Amino acid sequence: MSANGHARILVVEDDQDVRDTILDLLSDEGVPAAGTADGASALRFLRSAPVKPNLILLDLMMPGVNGLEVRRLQMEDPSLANIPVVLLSADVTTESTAGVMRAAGYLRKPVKLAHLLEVVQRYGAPEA
Amino acid sequence: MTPRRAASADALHALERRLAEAEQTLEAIRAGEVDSLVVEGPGGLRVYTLESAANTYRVMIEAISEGAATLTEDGLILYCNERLARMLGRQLQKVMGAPLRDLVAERSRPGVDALLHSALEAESRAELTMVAAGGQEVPAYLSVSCIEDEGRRVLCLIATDLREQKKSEEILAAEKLARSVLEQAAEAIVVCDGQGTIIRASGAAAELCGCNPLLRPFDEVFPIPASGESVAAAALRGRVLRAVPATLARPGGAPAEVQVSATPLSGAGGGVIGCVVTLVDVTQSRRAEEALRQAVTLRDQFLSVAAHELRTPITALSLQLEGLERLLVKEAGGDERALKKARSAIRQVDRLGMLVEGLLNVSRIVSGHFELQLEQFDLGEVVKEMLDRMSDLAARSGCELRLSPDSSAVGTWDRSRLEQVVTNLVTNAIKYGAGRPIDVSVEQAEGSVELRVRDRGIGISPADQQRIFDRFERAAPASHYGGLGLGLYISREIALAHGGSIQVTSEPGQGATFRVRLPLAARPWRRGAA
Repeated sequence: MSANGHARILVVEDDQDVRDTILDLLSDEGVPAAGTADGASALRFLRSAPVKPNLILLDLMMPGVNGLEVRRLQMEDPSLANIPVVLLSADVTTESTAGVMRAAGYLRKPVKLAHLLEVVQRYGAPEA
Repeated sequence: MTPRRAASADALHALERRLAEAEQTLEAIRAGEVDSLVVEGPGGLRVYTLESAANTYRVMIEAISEGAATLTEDGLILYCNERLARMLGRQLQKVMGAPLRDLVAERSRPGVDALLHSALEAESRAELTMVAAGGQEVPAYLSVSCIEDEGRRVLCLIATDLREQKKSEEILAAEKLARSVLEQAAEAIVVCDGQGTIIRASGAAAELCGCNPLLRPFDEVFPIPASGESVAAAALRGRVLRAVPATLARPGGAPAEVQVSATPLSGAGGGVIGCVVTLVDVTQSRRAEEALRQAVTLRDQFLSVAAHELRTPITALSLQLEGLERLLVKEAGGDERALKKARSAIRQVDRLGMLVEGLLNVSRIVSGHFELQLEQFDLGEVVKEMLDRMSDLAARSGCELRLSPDSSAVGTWDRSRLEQVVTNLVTNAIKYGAGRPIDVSVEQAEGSVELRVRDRGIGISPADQQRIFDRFERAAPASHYGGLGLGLYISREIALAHGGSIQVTSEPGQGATFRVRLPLAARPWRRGAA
């Protein structure tokens, strides 16, 4: 979380190790971030956050409300629709899925730190 | 007429007279009108008497179905019956008075001599070849015994014509062979007559139908439809069926999957007199094929799930290690030893990631989920970038990576897939050609580009050169060189997917050169699910 308590990046990932690792690395970089383990919690977080995050890192395959559903509901909500989404998936079709979902980009697992930081720099950098 | 011609004419008349007399004599002997015969031999004239009482026997001898003759000790035929003359296709008169040895094939003459000789001591028998008038050979069984007649020894010969017997033996042998072939055939073979009744069947046929099929209608024993009519009916109409798949219902047993072949049998007149039907039971092999197919599908599914599941922890591990490295670098006075260990761990995780990527690629290829993401770029630049990335790995193996300076070709391909190809080929070159330089080049020519990777390693034998592009195949023993045997398979699939090809030239001990040829604009070609 940022000093004022607002996460600039939301990490939606059901695997706790991956989620914690990403949050840990973002913390090392001084980027305030929050994580949720499933789609429903992610939507709840987004809707309740007084300050919306700059970027959503979204896993596709999750139990319950999956990544596709999260993205659909997010786009339907005018208060959330403009938040860029970068897909996070081991799936082979991530790239084409990203296009269909009008995502800003994708990170294929196994994710390289350099690629993750590049995405963070691009979308989740602190406002000037 | 000159005196000389007159003398010749007299001599001719004399001879004709003598011949006529001889013929009359022979006819008379045969008719029983004469009872003695004078024969001129080395010891002077000899008289052979034919007792009138023997007439009865003569008639009997004429009546028997064997050839019969009496001979002098020297083998001269004194008398023979009509049957013997007929057997040899000769006139009776020509046989009587002839030496027996003149009536047998040349190769049988020593046998005749021996037979006659031993007959003087005891009854003797031999199978010999006689010769008919036209030169036709007549196999015969000769039995000779010696009788005393008025102080003279006469030989009695009985000759049995073996031609019919030989023919029967041949027919029997052919029949026996056909029967044993049929009995021992692994396939179910049945022979039907013109009415479709089974008249012959192999043991396997009885096993297949579970009963004795003989003398039963084919359609009753093997109820198999073939395009609307029964197999036997089709064959009897002259149709030839070849390996037609069918299901055979079996009373009290599971249905059998069979392949049916049927051929009509033609008689001497050309008409169909029956048919031969072969049924190959493929139930077991079908089951084995199905089991194998399922096993392969399961394996591919397992590979896909396993690779997918492995990527998640690898992601966490890889990110943690890279974060650790970043921290060590950031912190002033970072421990060099710790940094070195972190970097080594990152390399191992990268390797693990590549292995998993390989497995995933295979499952994508076999499931048909192999799509190209096309974009325009310079392959030369990509190759340079990849070689830079692999320079550490190459250096650790003592290999110098040398890129040809003019390597450049702009085209439309899938960048990440071609990166994989470069990685696979260069990794192999490092693995099998450690300690020696590796040359890489990218050359453009006539609408296509050729990527060439040449090592100076252990090389590949001609026999292995095709095999190495197959899934899980490798030329080098797995115990000496690591890897899953997927790199070249994936590289080939990527080349094919671009409408290109991959080739290798190599000699054992002389290194290997891999050439990947791609059209400048990829012509994506998708293979259906394998």
